[in-house]
Amino acid sequence: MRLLNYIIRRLLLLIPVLLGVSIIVFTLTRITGNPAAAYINEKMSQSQIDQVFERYHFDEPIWTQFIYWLQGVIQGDWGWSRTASLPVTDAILKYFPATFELTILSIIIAVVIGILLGMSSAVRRNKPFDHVTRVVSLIGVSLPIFWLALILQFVFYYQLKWFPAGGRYDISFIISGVPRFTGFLLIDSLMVGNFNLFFNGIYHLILPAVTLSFGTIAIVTRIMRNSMLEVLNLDYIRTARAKGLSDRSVIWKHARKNAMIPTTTVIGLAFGGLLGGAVLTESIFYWPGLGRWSANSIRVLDSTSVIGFCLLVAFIYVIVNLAVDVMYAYLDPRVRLG
Amino acid sequence: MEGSEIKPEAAAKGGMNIKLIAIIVVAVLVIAAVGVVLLMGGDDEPEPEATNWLDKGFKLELFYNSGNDVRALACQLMKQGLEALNPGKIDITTTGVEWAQYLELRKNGAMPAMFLGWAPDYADPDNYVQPFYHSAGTYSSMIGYFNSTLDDMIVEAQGILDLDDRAAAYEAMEMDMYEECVFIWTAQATQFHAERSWISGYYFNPMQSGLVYYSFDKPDVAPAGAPSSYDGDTFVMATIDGNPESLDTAVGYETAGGEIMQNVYENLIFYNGTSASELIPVLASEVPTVDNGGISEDGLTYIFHLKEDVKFHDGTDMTSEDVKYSLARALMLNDPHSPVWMVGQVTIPDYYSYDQGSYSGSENATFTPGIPDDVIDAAIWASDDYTIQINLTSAYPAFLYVMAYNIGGVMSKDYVEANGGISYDGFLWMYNHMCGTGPYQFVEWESSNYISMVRYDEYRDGPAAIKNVVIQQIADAATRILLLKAGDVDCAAVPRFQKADVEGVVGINVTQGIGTFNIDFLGLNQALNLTALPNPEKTNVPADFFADKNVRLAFAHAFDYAKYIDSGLKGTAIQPNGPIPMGMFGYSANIPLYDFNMTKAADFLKASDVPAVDAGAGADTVLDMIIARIEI
Amino acid sequence: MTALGLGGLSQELRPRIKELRNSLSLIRENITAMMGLIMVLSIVIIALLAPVIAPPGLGDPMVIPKDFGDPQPPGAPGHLLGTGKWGSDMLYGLVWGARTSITIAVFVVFTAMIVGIMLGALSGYYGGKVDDIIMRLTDVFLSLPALILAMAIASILERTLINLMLALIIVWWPPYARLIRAQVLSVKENTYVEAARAIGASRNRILFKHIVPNSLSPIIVSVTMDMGAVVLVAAGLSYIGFGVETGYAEWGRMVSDGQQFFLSTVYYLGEPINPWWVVVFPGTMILLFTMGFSLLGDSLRDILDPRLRR
Repeated sequence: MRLLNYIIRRLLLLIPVLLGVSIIVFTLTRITGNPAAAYINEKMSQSQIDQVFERYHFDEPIWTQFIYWLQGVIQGDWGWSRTASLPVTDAILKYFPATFELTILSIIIAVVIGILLGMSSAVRRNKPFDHVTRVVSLIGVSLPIFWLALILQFVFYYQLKWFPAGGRYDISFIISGVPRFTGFLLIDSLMVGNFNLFFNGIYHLILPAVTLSFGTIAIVTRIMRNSMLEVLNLDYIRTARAKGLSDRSVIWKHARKNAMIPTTTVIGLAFGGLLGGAVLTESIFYWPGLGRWSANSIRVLDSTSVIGFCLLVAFIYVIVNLAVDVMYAYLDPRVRLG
Repeated sequence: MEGSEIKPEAAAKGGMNIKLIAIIVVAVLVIAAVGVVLLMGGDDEPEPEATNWLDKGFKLELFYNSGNDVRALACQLMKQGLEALNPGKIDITTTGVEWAQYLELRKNGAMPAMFLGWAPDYADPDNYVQPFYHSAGTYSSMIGYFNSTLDDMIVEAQGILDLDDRAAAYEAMEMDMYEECVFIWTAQATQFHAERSWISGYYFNPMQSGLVYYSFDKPDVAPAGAPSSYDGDTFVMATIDGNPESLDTAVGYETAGGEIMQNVYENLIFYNGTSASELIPVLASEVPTVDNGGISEDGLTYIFHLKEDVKFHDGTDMTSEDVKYSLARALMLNDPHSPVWMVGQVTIPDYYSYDQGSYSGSENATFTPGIPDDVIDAAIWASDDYTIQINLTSAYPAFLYVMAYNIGGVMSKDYVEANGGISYDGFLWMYNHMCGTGPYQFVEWESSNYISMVRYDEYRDGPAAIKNVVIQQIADAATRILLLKAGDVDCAAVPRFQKADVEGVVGINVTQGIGTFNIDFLGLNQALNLTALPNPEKTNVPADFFADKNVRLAFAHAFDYAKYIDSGLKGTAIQPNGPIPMGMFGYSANIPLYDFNMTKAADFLKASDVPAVDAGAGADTVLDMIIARIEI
Repeated sequence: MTALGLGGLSQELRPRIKELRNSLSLIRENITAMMGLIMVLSIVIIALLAPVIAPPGLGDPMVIPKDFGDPQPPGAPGHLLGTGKWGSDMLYGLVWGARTSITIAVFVVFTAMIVGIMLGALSGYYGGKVDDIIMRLTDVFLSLPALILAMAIASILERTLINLMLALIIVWWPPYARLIRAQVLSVKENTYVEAARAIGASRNRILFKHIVPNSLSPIIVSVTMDMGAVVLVAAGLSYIGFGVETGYAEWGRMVSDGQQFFLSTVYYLGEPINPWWVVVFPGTMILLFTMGFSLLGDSLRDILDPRLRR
C-alpha cells in the first residue's frame, strides 16, 4: 500500500512538471513569429485558415491562447508537419515504431554489455582490465555519435561489406510486400510468418543500434562498477565470503542483484540521451523513424515538427523516469517511500 | 578574519586544494578565451572619401537556398571575385536560407542578391521571358525590375503565330537585355544520367520530369556481375530525399510527384521521344493544327479528337467527359501553388481576379469552387463523347505545350466521383491515390521512404517490359552510388560533382551532354528593402545599389563561369547567354556571353556612382563589436 | 576585503601554495589526469597559435581558405593534412576550429554556471517560495533531454553560432542550480556563517561573500566534464545544420561537409582514392577535446573524493 501511495504522490508531482513543460513548449511555438503557421498548410483555403484563427484565438491574450493550445494538445492536435505532409500526431504514430525498435535494442545492448563490463571492472579493481575499461568508457562518452555512425558505416559497410548501409529492410521486400499492422516491423513480420523479413529487419538494426548504444554502455559500465564496489564492501557480502561461498557465486548471486538497483535509474536517464542520439544516428543510417523526421524538419525549418517531437520526448522521458523510480523504490527496500 | 574568502573551517574540510585546482583550470581557460576573443578581431580603419563603389568598397550579403551545394559554391566564387577587386574593402557574406525562409525574404525584397534556378513548365520561350522580364513575373518582381516597354514586347511575342517572327522578337528582346544585365546567367546544366548497363531503353527529353519507365527493359536472367538479389521484373531507382507535394495533377507542381504522374496519367498530347518541340498525340487521335482544323485561324479555338477504346486502370472507358472533368476539377480548386494558372490564364477571362476554391461548414462539407462552373463550361466543353473543345481568351501558340504538362493529365471521373468527387474528401483522397490510363498503375507511397508502381497489363500499346518500379528515397548520395555500383539498384540520382565516382566503372552506363532546360542565375535586387534585411550588419549598400547598371555589369564580369562549371558541375553545364536555354525554340546563338574579366569588372565598378548622401552604415557600438566577435 | 600587508599576504599564501603543490603532485601521479591535461593544453595552445600555424588571408579568419578543387590527400603540396570539400585546407580548419570549440565551451559553460550559481544560491539560501519556484523550474528543464530541447530552441532561432550557444546555455544551467542549492543548504549551517550573521552582515553579503565561494567545490568536476560535453553536443547540432555555414572552421560542420565524400572516390594525380581524411580528422579533434576534459574531470572526481583520498 505504501508503494501505491508513493506512486500516487509521484503522479501528482508529475502535474506541475508536465504543465511546466507545456509552458516551455508553448512559449517556443509563440516565439516563431506567426503562431498560426503551425496549423496552416498550403492545401488550406482562406475559410479554413479563418477557422484555425477562430479555434486557437490568436487575437486574444496569451494565457487564453495557452488554454486553447493546451486543449488542442490534449485532444491530439499538435499542428501540421510540413516535412511529413501529415498532422504531427499522425507523423509521430507513423515514425514511432521504427525508433522504438531501435531504441529498445540499443538499451538491451547497452545494459548487457555495460553490466558485464562494470562487474568485471569492479572485481578487477585497479587492475589493467579496470583501467582499460575506464578509458574505453571515457572514449564512449566522448565520441561524437554522428562520427561514430559514419566510421562504423565506413568500416562495416564500405570496407568489409558485412552490414547494410542503412534502411529498415532490403528493397526487394517492398515488391513482395511489407506487412503493416502495428508498424513494428519485427512484430508484423512474425504475424504474417515472414521470417526472412524478420531476420532482415534485425540485420538492418544491428549497426544503428550498436552506434546508439555506445554512449549508454559507458554510463552503465561506470554506475555498475561503482555500485558493485559499494556492495562488495557491505557486511553481508563479507559474511557470505567468510561463510566460504566461492567468489563466483558471491559476485553473481549476491552482489550483482543489489548492485543492479542503482543501474536501473541510469537506464531511465539514458533514455533521453538515446532519443537525442537517434536524431543523429537515424539521419546517417536513413532509418525511417522519429529522429530522421525531426532532423529533416530542422533542415527545412519546420519548427512545428521539431517542437512536436520535443513535446513527445518530454512526455516519454517523464513517464519512463517515473516508472524507473517506482521500480527502484520497489527493488530497494532502503528507499524510504515517505 | 574579514579579508579572507576561504575560511579555515572549509580548508580543514579538504576544500582548499579543490579551489586551487579550480582556479588553475579556470585561469587557463579564461586566459585562452580572452586570447581567442582578442585575437579574433581585427582593427577597423577609417574609410576615405570615395565616389565610386570600387574605391569606397561595400558590404553585401549573398543568398542561396541551403542544401544546394552547387549554388553555395557559386556564392563562394562570386565572393572571391568581388573581394579580389578591392581586398579588405569589399566584404561579401554568403548565407544559405531554407526554402520557407527564402520565400519570406523574397516576398519582403530583403535579399540584396541571390542565386537561384529555373526549370520550365512547358517548352516555350514565354515560360522563361515572362517570369524574368515581365513586371508581373516571379523573378522580375523579386528584384524590383519594372520595364513597361519590355512588358509590351513580351505580351506581343506571346501571340505571334509566325514562328520566324516570333523567334526574331525573342532575339531582339534578349539582345536588349544583354546590355541591361538584369540577371547574371551562370549555368545551363547538361543532362547527366547513370544506370546499370543491363538497363536498356533510356532516352532523355529535357521536358520530362524524371524517367519514363515504359521504354525501359532489363534481362530476365541475371547478367554477369549482378548481385544475387537481381530481379528482372523490378526496376529500382535510388532517388534523393524528399516527398512529392501531391500526386494530384490539380495540385502537384514539382518533379518528384511529376515523375509518378507522367507514368500513371497520360495527356492528350506529349513530346515526341527526345524532341522538346515536336508533339505527338497520346490520348488525342491527332495533334490539333490549323491545317487539320484543330486550331482556328485566329488561334483562339482548340479542338481535340480523342482515341476511342482507351481504358482507365479501374476498367472504365476514357471519354471527353473525363478530360473536361480533370481540367475543370483543377480550375475549381484553383490552388495558387499549383500549375493550374497555366491553363487558367489563357482560358478564363480575368483569371487572376478569381480566388482559390474553399471549404466551409462542419467537416468542410461545402465546397465553393474558385472558378465557377459556368465560367469553366464557357471555356472547356465536351462537344461529343470523343471531342473536347477549349477556347482561349487570346492567341497563345504555347497552349499545346501547356497541355503536355502534368496539369493536362487525364484522370478517371468515375474513380474520383466514387471517392468523394469534387469535395474536401475527394481532394484529400486524390492526394495519394491515382487512376489514369498510363502504362503504370500507382501502388503505394510510403512517406519519406519509397513510391512503387506496377505495370498496367491492359495498356493499349502493349504492357511495359518491366513489371514493378520502386522509387526509393536515399538521402546520402554516396550510399546511392554504392548501391548502384553493387547492382542493388538499377539507376541512381548521382550529383554532378560526384561524377568521377561512376564514370568508367564497369557495369555502369553514364549518359551526358544534351542540354537540360534548367537555368541557374544570380538575381540582383534593384529595390532592396533595407528595413527588412535579415542581417543588417552584413550589408551596407543603399536600396538602389543594383539600379546602377555599372554595378550589375561589374558583378557579371567578376564571376568565374568556367571554374563554376568545372568545379561545381564537373563540366556538365554550359554558360547560358540569356534566360532562353540552348535547344529551346527562341534561343539565339547571336547573344554574346559575359566573360570572366577582372579588369572589366574593376572598370565597371570604378564607373559606378556612390550616392552623395551616405545611407549611414550605422555606428558600431562596443556591444555590437563584442557580439560580432563572438559570432565570428 | 581589508588590505593585507606583504607579510600577511605571504602568510596567507603559504598554506595555499602547499596545497597547490599537493594537488599538482596528485595530478602528476595520476596518469589519466596528466593525459587529460596534456590534451586540453595542447588544444588551447593550438588555438592560441592558430595565426602562426595556419596564417589567415584577408577577410574572416574563421572561414577556411579554399581553391574549389576536389579533396586532396594529406601531404599534397601546400596541404599538410590534405583538403576537404571545395578544396578547403584541413590543417587550417582543424587549427582554427579549436578556437570555435574553446569559445563554445567557455562561453556556454561559464554563462550556464553563473546562472546556475545565482539561482541555486538564492534557492538554497532563501528557501520558501523562492526555493519552490526555482526548483520547479529546474525540474521542468531537467525533464527534457538537453539535446532535444536545444534542438527545439535552435529550430526557432536564426542559424548563427551565438544562437547555438544561447540554446545550449538555456538547457545547461539547471544541473548547476541543483548542485549549488544542495551545497548551500549544508554550508549555511556552518559556524562561520553563523558568525558572520552574528556580526550583522547583510543577507546578500553573507550569501555571495561567505556561502557561495565555499559551495563551489562540487561544481568543479561538473564544469570540467561539461567543457567537453558541450562541445560534443554543439558539434552534433552543427552537424545537423544549426550554427555555422559550410566552410566555417568548426569541427562538427567539417564532418558534415566531408560526409558526402567519405564513402566515395576522388581522383588525385589520376589515381582513384577514398578521401577518409575529410571525416576522420575533424572527428578525431572533437574526440580529443571531449576526451581531454572527460579524463581531467574523471580524475578530479577521484582526487577530490574524500573517500578515495589518503
